[in-house]
Amino acid sequence: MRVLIVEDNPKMASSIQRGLREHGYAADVCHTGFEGEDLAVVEPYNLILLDLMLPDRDGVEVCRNLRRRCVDTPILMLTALSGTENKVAGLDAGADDYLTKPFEFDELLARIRALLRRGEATEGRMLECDDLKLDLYTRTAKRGDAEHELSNKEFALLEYFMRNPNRVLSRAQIGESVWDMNFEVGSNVIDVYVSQLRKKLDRGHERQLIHTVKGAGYRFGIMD
Amino acid sequence: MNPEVQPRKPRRPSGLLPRLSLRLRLTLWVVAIFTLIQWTTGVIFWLYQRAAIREMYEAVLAEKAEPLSEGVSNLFPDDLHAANLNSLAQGELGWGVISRYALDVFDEAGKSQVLDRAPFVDAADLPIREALKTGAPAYTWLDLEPLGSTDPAAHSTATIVYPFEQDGRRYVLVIAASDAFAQRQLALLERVLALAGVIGPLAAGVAGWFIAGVAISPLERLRGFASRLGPESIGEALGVDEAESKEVARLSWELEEARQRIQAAFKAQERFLSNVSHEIKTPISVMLIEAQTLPREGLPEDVNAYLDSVEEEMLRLGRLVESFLTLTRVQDGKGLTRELEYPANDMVMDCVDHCLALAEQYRVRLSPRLLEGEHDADTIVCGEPELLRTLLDNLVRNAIRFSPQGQAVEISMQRVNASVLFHVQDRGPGIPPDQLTAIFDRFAQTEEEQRRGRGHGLGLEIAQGIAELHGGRIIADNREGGGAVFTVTLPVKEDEDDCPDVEADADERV
Repeated sequence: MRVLIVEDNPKMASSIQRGLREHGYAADVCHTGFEGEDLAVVEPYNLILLDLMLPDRDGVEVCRNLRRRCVDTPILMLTALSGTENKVAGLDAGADDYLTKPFEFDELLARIRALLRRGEATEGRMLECDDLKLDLYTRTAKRGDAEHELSNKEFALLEYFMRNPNRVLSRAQIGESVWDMNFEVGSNVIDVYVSQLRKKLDRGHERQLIHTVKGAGYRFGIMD
Repeated sequence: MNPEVQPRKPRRPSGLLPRLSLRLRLTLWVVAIFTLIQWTTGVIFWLYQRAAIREMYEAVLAEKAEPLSEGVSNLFPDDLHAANLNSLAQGELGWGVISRYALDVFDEAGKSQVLDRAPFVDAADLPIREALKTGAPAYTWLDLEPLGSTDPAAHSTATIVYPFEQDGRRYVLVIAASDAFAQRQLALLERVLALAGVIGPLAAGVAGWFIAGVAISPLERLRGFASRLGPESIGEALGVDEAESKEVARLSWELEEARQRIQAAFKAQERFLSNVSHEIKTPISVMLIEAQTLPREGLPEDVNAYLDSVEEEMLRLGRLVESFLTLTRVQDGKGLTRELEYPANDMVMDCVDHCLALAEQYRVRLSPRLLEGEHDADTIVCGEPELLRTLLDNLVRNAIRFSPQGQAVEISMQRVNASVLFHVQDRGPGIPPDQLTAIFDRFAQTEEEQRRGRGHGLGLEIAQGIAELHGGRIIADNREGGGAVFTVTLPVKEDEDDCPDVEADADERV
């Protein structure tokens, strides 16, 4: 896995580089926006860490340019500014995630892993089941002609369902996979999200996709 | 917040007399000046009229005196009867304004020469001597309840004392004329003047009120502008109307320039904060990353422990800086820079996501309970998602820190009419009853909290600031059976409405 670090602070850059190398990533460093943009276009990186404040140009601008030049490498923005506007600008310009300095290195690793996973997943861009299509890139679901925007967790839940069709999935399994946690027995989190999904996808359709299995959990798919 | 930081409200000046508004004062001035001018003119006019009337009487009398004195000469001495005098006077036409009159003749000693009638006037009241001395007619005005008249207006008489000679002796002819006609004219004039003297000032008052209103209307506009002026409206320029009078336009310019200076100061402060944010956070980040990525193998244990401590303190410092920045943003009085729809359930689950690691570290379970059911599950809050998440995060992190191991932090929700309630409950030591409100103050930490050595005491103040920014509030309480419960109340987005779009002027402010 090759990571490009675009960061003007040399100490910061080399520390990140060292840390990433230790965790098995190949990491290149550059200190300016133009250099970063050129490298990102030429070299096949799996991920770009992009500082928002660069000496020669704005990270947001670099990001926007890269997307315009059809570089769809996942970009993780690093910023010392915490104003939401900055983050939003970054995300609007095509960044995939952001991290505010100072951050814990473990947090950085976790975000990188998540982005890389997403990158792999998007290689097969669509998940399909019956007339339901889930676009892993735009994170929208389409059933029949109706398109539905999904919140992050709705998307994660549906993706999990669609990757595990026709199997009875217990609440514990779902919680573990989608939320990384075990909900207590009395918790209604999973049921609330499942019913949200049903409302968007199953309502008004003859064939139901999400089925409740009494005492066990849920099953996704078309029942014969 | 510290009381001394609050701007002191300027005391309004107070005197013995109540302060009158500018408009009222202007009006009163107009009325006073108008009244003074009008009344003075009236009085002068009245005096002039009175003098003119007197002159007119005296002229008529003077005109009559000569022929009458000749007539009287013919009557001397034996035919000087009252009846003859009367017919003599009646024979003289053109009395004009004089309706009643009386004649008499006196000698030098003041003895009446009329044979069959007592004098109708006391000779001592007449300027006989003066008339005889100068040889010219003398005039006087006498208060002779006069001449048997019943006219109430007739209260004085114009009197001429006309000297003439008869048989080598000198006499005076006295003609007294009632001024009833003149008095009636004067009374009419007085009534007209009095009426005008009342109506005039009243009309001046009404006119003055409107004129003053027009004159100070720009002031009202400027006052409105000044009273609106605050951190959230500092970007709104004061339009200066070129058609405005010179003074008002100048004041407008001054105000507008003052506003621009304040705005510049705000911007400078924002830039400063942003720079501080960057300048402080960068070295912290570098130190943190260096400590975290340092190869640890082969290092003595105490050095490792030392590095752990450095790492921990750096993280803490970073969070503290972040918290200060958030707090500044929440309390800068500029309100929200944008409002987005945030489903209440997502808000809780995002917070759970964030706090999971900390919960695991403290061996505390998180137990969220979401809104369910057709209507409630769609509950949406309008606001800044980042801040709303921070709000719940701070409460949940607090709860985690206070929870005994193995216990659960419960996050439950409730939809009540147009509000959504978030309850964050723990099984910790609870809050001393006397500190239930004080805990929201800066750096307020209970001893227990200090003992556990986590957090920096800004969390609750930030949470409260965020809640208030979104039109909500937080209440702290103790649970039955031990532990604390923090309840956040936030207004809910109604179905039809969109979140207020404040994004448009966000650029203006940054």
